[in-house]
Amino acid sequence: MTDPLITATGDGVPLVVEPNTPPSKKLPPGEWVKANLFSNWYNSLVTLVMAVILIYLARFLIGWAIGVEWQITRTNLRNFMVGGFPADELWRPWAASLLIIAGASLGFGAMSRAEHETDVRNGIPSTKPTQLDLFRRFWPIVLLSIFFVSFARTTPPFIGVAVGIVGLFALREVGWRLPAVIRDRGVFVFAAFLLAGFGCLAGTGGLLAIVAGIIVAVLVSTELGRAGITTRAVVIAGPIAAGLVTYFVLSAIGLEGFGWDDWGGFHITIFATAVGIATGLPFGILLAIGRRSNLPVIKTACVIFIEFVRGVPLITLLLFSSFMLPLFFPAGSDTRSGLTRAMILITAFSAAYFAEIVRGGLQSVPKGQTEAAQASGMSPGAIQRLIVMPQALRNVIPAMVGQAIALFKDTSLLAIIGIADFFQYGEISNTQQDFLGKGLQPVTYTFIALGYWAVAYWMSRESRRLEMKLRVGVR
Amino acid sequence: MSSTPMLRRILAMLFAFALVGSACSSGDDTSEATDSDGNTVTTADDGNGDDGDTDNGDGEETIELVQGDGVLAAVQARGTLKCGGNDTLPGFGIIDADGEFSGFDIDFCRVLAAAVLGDSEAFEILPLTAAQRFPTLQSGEIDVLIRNTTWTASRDGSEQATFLHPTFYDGQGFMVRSDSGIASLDDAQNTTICVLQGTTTLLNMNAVLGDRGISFTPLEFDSNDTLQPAFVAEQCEVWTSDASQLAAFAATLDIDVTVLPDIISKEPLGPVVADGDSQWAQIVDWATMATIQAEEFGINSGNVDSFLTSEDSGILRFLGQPVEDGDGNSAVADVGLGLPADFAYNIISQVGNYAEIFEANLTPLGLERGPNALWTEGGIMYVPPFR
Repeated sequence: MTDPLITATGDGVPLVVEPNTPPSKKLPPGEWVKANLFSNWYNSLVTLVMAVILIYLARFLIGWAIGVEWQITRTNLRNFMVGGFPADELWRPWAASLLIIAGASLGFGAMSRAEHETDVRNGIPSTKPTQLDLFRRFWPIVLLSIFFVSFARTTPPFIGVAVGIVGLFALREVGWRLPAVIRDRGVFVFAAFLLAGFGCLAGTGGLLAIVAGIIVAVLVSTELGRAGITTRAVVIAGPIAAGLVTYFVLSAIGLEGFGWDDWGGFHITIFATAVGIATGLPFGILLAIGRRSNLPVIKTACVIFIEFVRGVPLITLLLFSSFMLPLFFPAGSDTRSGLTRAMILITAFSAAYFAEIVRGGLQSVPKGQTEAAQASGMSPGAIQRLIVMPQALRNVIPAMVGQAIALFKDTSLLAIIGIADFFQYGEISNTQQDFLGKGLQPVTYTFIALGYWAVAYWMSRESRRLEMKLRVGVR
Repeated sequence: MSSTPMLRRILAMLFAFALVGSACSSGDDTSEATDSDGNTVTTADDGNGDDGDTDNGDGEETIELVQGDGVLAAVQARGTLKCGGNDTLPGFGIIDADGEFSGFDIDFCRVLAAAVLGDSEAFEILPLTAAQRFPTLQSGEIDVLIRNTTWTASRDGSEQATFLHPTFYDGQGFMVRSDSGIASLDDAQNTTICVLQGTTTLLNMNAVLGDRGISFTPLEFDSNDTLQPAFVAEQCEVWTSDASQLAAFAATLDIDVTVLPDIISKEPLGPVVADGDSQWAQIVDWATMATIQAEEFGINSGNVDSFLTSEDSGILRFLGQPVEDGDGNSAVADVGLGLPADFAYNIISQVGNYAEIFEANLTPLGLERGPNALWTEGGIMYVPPFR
């Protein structure tokens, strides 16, 4: 099949533009070493000195890691991972993790297939990503799982991690091969698995049912759009009815679970980050739009909020959540747990930072874009949604991921207000009778540092991949 | 333009995350599912409205609180006791390898749960930092604070807190390396002393050593986790802390250390409740004291059942058993605390007496009973009679 866009010259000869790529600078290993390490006598000297230092450091670190007693992380592995989660309910976090991996894997498989098909349709060269590509994307996480599980003292965790890794690679293939009907709804596949995983942890009642209801409503609304149905009554009533049914069905099931107050360790760290990003980003976008609004009250309110939150350190906000927020609840009422209150302030914090990042993105969109859209008769909402926001967000993805990574590391401040997150278990494990006074802090904090590093590094790699994918910097 | 659908997908995904995030705040509260009405389904933010409803419901309990029997009623209605505790204090409150809280203070939370609810496992621990403990107690988030808190006049007076019978008499001590040549505090002239910041320990030390004319340089740390390596690395000659903590570290450090004989302060540690509910304060007080009385009677978790048929009317009354009065009528005495008659029996059979709690948590750290021995054995643990 020949794409008409490419055969546009009229004389039947395809016009194929061959981009001029710079000549490859790849050298054979021997020459590379000579050119980069031993090009002249003083470079050779520097290379040798640095090599000695590096070898010494590596020997020291490896010798330390082998010689040191890792028993403390072995004994406390469960604490580091899930904290005080009830021991006989551990299938819940396992099931949740595996379901989320499965959803992500299926969803990514389906979505990359959908993108592939779009690219092929538009004549853009595209090949199916290989398993090696997938491994390149996820190796820090895979490695971290293996690192964590290497401290396990029983078999089930090894099986769990193995299933997770195999699932990650296998289900992507399944996702790739899903029929187009399901494939094009990859986001909803992912959301369904995410919700199922969350249901395993926290049960089906309460807000989970509400969220599921909203997602089903969104799904129905998209489906109606796809089917080309525009009847007002159907478009409004259909999604609401579907959402309500989902809500009541899930509530009626009433599967019980454990909310986040029973969680701890790495779970809390990941979860606090996810909530901070997922709730902070929408609020941040609203704040950014509000700050550019022409309505003085809205604009001032947004400016005050953003500047106040950005002007105080996160630890101050967390202490505020711990000490002052309870005063805002009616006396004697349930003031919610410390973690819930902290999450409110973490959301506010990340919203303020995201708002400024998004505002930077909005300002980078030329005014002509808006004006052209206005001239063609688009509504203000549609202009924001379809013209301005996509371009603005595309431009600031690296900054947003940077903020997400910062937030991930900042969650360790939760330890200051007494929340037993991944970081806090470093101190907790060192006060246990078996390890007290043994000076094992270097061991626990190395363990913790590796945990943080792997995830942060993975996030920064994903950001670079997204950048390239969205061709940020190429306009 | 191929980027736009991709971006929309990302946004949709983030949105999904956001929704899940908001879902969880109620995950722990399954009852909310039945409370909430259909109206809350339309937007994610309505979850907060949902909370509002719950708060209104609790508002009615507030009125009861003011009337006087609030905390007991609230605990009984809830079915669990909420204690403020510590999760990083060796011997007193730690989280063990199974993720469970354990320690001396934790056991007294257990004691209270056994007394009030008849089940020593019906409790929750909220780990608190030193700065958080009083605000958390005042906000009503916890029913009782059992977190190595020293009873002082200013805290009793200005923190809206009521201190109850001490469970442990501690004091500030000093520890040195055995080869340092320091045998008493007076030898510690011109030394560097490692101390935790923001504690009364530092204030005490400044006052007492200043009075004695001993000059020193304090080296402050925010946790024992950072202080201990500094002491081992000889950044300071002396480590000051509560004597119980020093004993714990002395028993486990790899280097030879000596705890100096000087104790420079009184640190009575015990449970604390919020001001304004004297019935609840009495309940906590007598539940705590029952463990000490049990030791005095020689009753422990192993032999408590054999005392149910005791000849001693004092013991029978203590355990909530019928006692014959002068006329031969047999009746269970109600002391009027609002506790079940057999609360002491529940405490001892489910948790143990004071000696058992001490030996389970503090003896392994190398701590002696010292002042915490019974008054009959040279200590100062003395409780009013259970009559």
